[in-house]
Amino acid sequence: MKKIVILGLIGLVVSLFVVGSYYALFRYRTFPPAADQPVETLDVLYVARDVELSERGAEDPVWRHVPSKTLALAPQVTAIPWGKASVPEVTVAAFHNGERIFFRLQWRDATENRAVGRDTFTDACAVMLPLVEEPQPNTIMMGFLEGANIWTWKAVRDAQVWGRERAASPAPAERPYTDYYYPLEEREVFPIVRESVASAVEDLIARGVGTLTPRAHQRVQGRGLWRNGTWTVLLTRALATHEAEEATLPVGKARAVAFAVWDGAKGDRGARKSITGWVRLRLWPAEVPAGAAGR
Amino acid sequence: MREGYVLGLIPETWRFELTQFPWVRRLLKSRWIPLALILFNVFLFTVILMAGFFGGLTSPGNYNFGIMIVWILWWVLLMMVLVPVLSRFWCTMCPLPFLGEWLQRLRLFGVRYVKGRNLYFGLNKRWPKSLSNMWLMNVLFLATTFASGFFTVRPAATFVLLAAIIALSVVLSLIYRARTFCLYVCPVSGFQGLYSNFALTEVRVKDPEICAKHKTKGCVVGNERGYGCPWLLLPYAFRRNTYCGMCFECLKTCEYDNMAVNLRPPGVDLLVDEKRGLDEAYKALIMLGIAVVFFVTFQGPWGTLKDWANAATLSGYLTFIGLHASWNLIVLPAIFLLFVWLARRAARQAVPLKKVYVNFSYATVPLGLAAWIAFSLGIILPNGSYLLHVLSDPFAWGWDLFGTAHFPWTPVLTGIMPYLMILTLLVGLLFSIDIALKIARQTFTEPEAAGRGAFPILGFLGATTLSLMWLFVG
Amino acid sequence: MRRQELLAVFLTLLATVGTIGGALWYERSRDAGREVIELLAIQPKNGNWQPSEIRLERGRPVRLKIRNIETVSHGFALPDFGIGIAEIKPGEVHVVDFTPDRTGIFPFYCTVWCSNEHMAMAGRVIVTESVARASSDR
Repeated sequence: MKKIVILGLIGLVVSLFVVGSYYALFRYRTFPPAADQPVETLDVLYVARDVELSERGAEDPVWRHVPSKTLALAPQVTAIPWGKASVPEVTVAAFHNGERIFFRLQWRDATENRAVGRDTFTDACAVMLPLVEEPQPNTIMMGFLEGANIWTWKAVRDAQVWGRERAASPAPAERPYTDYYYPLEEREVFPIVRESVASAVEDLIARGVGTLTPRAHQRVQGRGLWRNGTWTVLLTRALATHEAEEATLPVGKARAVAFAVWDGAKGDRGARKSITGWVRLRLWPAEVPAGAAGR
Repeated sequence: MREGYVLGLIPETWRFELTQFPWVRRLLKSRWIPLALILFNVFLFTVILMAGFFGGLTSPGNYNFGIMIVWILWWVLLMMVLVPVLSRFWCTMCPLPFLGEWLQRLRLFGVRYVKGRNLYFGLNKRWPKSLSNMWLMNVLFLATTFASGFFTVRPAATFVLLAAIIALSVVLSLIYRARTFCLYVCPVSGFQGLYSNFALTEVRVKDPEICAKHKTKGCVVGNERGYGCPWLLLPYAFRRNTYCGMCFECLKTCEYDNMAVNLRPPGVDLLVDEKRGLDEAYKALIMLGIAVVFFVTFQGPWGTLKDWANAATLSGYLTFIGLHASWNLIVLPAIFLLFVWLARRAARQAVPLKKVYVNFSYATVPLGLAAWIAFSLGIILPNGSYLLHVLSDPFAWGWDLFGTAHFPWTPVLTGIMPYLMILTLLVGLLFSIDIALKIARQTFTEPEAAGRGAFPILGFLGATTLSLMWLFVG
Repeated sequence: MRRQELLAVFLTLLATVGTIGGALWYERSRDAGREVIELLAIQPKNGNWQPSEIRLERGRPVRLKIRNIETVSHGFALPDFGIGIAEIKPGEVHVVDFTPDRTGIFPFYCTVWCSNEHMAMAGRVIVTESVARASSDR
């Protein structure tokens, strides 16, 4: 009798141990590794054509023929202050003509915000070209450690540059102008007031968060047009580079690019923006090598 | 150095009886001691087991109550305070065999004593003679360290280890008599036993004359006030701390109040030539060896080794086990053998090699303990601040019981840590040299032979200390 | 003796069953009246947020327990509700309480460069009208 009780107790203890250990070890689900995140590639074909920075250029038939990519945007939530989720996606197309590269960025935005003031912010977008062609994936907002060349288009600048054409009102350049405004945020650094605005796009360099610096030589041109709740922004620069801080655009090779969009009506400014991850920008030569097509 | 003095300063026979104070004696004679301490630890280990159970395999260890309390607090306390100062005081309050002992006695507080003997539930078998030594514990402890890379990062691994120890203790308590599990199986019992020979505390007979005349020997067979020695010792006669679990039953059973708890100078039991054996010699070397492996693996600059130990790849893990086992079981004992052989040659006295080997192994105990204390400094000083976190949020459920759940990681004194480690090692070396010289005189009866024979052993101790220092700070 | 034996048994039960029961009861009472969702922060190549889609009802208080089960830091941002945790250290759990006040699909993100695929570490909160409200509207 006693032996049976003891055997029963031993059996109980051992089974409790086995069951307990099994639950402790295996109660958590195991997670299947997610499929590799595909890196988006934007093909930049050679098209022997120029588009003018105008409504006509924005609607030029060439844009219907060159490849475009709709890229998911995420609010910038790495460096403080964080962006709010404002713009979910941006559609980008690009081509080059051997001398210049043209980008067209399009995104939905219900309001056209071309002014800045207290609690009023401008719509904007930017193209970031890291100074190294193949940066580490984690260098966006991590401080673009190797340095980056950033083309920033702002609706407020656009109004100053292209508003002169329409020029019914006094020239905006004669007004006091700022693109940095209250509330000042500790880590937000802006290019400060500039005397003359020659282009709607400002060419900046940065090496680390908060180091945005306008380049001495501004070579990037651009124009934004808002119609029916959509911004269409054209940006263009010569392929050839003149200085080390100017990102190279090597034809026949691929390099990294990233895009950012600001929705001023929703309070985007400075670091508060929506960004893409790195995208591969593949610049095709005039003669497409045999067998390369379709890749 | 003067014969019969520890470091030439304190007489080896010096004792300070703690139980001379009536309240200490009353406390230790109460059946609530050690029960109250055990119950507190039952509570603590219930929380630890729960945290391990809910922690799963995936969460990292630094925010897990089980891992932090067991491997940061308990292990460090054991190495730095409990063993070197209080001998096997952990065994006094250990909650792990609590369930098994309860089943054996069927009483928590009281004593079952009928017709001149204690009553036990269970089969009460004798443990095989061939296993009544430290070999099994040597193997089990070494095997446990194979998984050390998991215990510190996987809460569930700590749960399984503790649950296995509890389950095994219950099973063995039902089959074998008394604390057989604690004596011959528990993985952490062996080194506590060996290192307790160095401890500052002991339970001993006050006046052997009284025991010699006393026939009933309640301390061995038990009586209505307590149980016969659960650690199967003869409390009236034992001379080394090794197998004394400090349960204080003999203080309760002794009819003449002839048992005492004493303070004493460190290391004196290492000189007691009683039941010395190759099993304990191996224990001493394995502990020294594991300290080196742990340091190299977990605190050293070699990330590959850590990956191997954490089983990043199976082949890496097997390499770790292979290196670890062969270093501890073959390489280090062989190196020590070389020095012992040199010692015997230098002494030019015909003493069996095995005896020389076993005797001198006890000289490595203070140094081994110092290495473990230094290693523990490397655990507690950088990681101690995590303890505040797990106290407030023991199960990682987002609790904040004491407002310290988000206390940031704060290393303490890490700037002077290397110096503390070196100082610890030097103190250990000093005691080891002292013991080695005395053991040389025990082993080689002629004083000159002893002087010559001690040199190679001092060389081993010095070389070991230098290598450890190089590991710790180099 | 007998009373002390009973006291010892009582204390044993208190230390074991009492501890487990007390902990589980405290955990339940803390969450009373809220929907509790445990969200595991995992880098994309190990499986991404679990769950990656959280379904909530408008007006019903919710408690997110965001647990980082990895050895790298993560963060959490649900920008549409102004919720952000700059850093969740390995093993840490952060508790976020909120009540969704509007319906829609709202993305949430990791805020720390945890891995090369960090940008893909995102999930969605889907807020719908509660069943009770929907029926009373009719």
